[in-house]
Amino acid sequence: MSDTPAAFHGLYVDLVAPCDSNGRFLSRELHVHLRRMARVKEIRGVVVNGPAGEASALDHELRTKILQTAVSASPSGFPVFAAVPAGIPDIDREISAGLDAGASGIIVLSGQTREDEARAMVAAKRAAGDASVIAWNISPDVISEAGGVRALIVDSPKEITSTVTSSVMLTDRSFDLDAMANGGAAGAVLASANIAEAVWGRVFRFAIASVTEARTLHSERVGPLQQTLAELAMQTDQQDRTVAAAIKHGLFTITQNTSAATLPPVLDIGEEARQAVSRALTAGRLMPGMS
Amino acid sequence: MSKEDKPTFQVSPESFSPMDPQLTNGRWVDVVNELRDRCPVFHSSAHEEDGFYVLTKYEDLRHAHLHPEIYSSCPITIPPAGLTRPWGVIEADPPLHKPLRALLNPQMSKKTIAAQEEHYREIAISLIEPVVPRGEAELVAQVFKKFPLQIILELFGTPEEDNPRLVQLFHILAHRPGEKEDPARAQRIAAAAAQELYQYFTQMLEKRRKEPGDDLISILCEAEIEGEPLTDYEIVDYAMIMVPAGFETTAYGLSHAFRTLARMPEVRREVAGDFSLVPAFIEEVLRFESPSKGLARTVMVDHEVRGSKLKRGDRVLLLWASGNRDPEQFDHPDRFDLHRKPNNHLSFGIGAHRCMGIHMARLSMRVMIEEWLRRVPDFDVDWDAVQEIPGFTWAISALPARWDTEE
Repeated sequence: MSDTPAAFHGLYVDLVAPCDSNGRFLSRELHVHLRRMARVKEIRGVVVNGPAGEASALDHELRTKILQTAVSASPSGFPVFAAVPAGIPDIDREISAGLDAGASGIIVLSGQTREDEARAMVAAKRAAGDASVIAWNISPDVISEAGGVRALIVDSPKEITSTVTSSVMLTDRSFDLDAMANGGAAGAVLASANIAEAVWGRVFRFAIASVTEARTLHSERVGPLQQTLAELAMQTDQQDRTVAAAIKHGLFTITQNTSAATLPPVLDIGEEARQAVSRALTAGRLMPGMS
Repeated sequence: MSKEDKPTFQVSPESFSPMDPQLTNGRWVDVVNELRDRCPVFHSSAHEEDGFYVLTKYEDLRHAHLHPEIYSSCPITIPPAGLTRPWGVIEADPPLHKPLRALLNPQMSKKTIAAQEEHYREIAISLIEPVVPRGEAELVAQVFKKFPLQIILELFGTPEEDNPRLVQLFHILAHRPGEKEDPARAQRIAAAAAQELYQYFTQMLEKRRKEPGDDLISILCEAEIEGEPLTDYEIVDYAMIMVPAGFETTAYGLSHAFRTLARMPEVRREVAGDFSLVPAFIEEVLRFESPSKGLARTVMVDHEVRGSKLKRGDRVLLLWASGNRDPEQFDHPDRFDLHRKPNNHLSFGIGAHRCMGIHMARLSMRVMIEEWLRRVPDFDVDWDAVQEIPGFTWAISALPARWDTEE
């Protein structure tokens, strides 16, 4: 099992599984992608099979392969969390497979109903043993009932005040991460495809290649982001124009797997939002020294 | 005076750079010897946002090479080369590294390369013979660069007319012109060069998919790992590493070897009189000169080396040039010893990432040295024109040589 952190804080990455234009999972690209993230000291761990679409759209065998690939690529002390969507059939098998593959913990993703979420949380707690159970957009009362949940990941800063877990992390769904600077959120979980924008300065050089590789599973929604990234890149110097070219040529080679789009992590952000992210991450000491 | 009493370093550890022009013309030897002696693990701020650590002891370097679970090979250079993807198999970590490397083992094996000896010899002779009657030549440009380039690009099947531009672009990647004066600009130039190379090899790949040949790209198009074909990116990655690795290192390895032959007439006479000494001569040149001063790693697991606490994400330079002169590994390390045995130098790396083209490099160098000394056993060099150019492999700008002709 990959290592479980003592406390959840800092920056985690929801690793979008790369696939080719036929929707075929590229295991070697995931290996490269994860190693790249693990080399960035500010990134404390990764999530696979998350809400980018893998959790709900891919079958059990493929999800297991993705997790195994990630665990095998992960260095000692760098945790890999397996996301499991509440409400999928045979959730016990899914959770067991995740733990057997070596995940540091299970992240239960929100489901359609409260009952689905409650069932998933109970199953995760039952199977987890020493591994962590984390909730992603799960209702506070469900978390309270389950007990022992290590962290809560939420989309909205308004939910940061939740006291049902010792640690609350924000996703990049809102990009309103100023709240972290004001205390409250312990960290952030950012989709790998968004790292490039969220931490434009410091991590950018690592992340851009991952953006190039991260042929996301949400073909219908990437257009605005692609445009925004290219525009941002063109505003700066030649290096970023090179990046823009890379984006145009390589970013989001659209997959045929459009049905995988469930909760796209890629959002169109403006310069103002990007600055807000930078300020929040810097002030929250998540990205020390970031300009 | 004790070590502790020494007031200053020749080059401060905090500003040490393997690309520093101050270290050229042999000055690097005194500098790395001093650093290894006084601070075997040190931190420099010369490159990288957070600087980098430098390992100087042979034992520590060997350990780092043999523990990829602690030291990732990506990025393999300090500063990073400016590529948008990892530099192919050379920057791959286990378990990915093994199958990527295994794909080309048949083409790069000792047996396969040995079978090419006559072909290599023909190429070498075709470059040497037009030059010999002139009695003088600038050997780096006219012979040493052309030789490995022809060999490696034959493997990839690139059109001959493209070669000058490819050489130029790979030179930019490997030597980062203007790095000391303006690192940001050097980085932008390197990134642009990398982008052009990516595009070049991507276009070549598209052509090979339509019209396969017997070149390496065509072979890679058909290759699979665990039943999965290589992606276009992966195939281009092979070209991005194999061309410069096969060309630059051998060209400048030869340059260093011939500079040594010119500098040390007694060694030259001994080698010219007994070609069985050529392999040992090559190995000692690689140890003594360390044409590649070292490669880099990234720490993946927090740990401590000689009291320095290395954290995940820290960059580390494995200073081969220092390990190759470590008295705890080599007797009289600063003496060129043609008969040194054993000679376990670090210049090809060790462990899983040992130079994939080692047999090609050794054969190329041996053939060129033999064929040259067979025709020109004695020569002089215009030393005023000889300059080292720091880089991932240190280049020698020019080696203008003169010799007596029969006429």
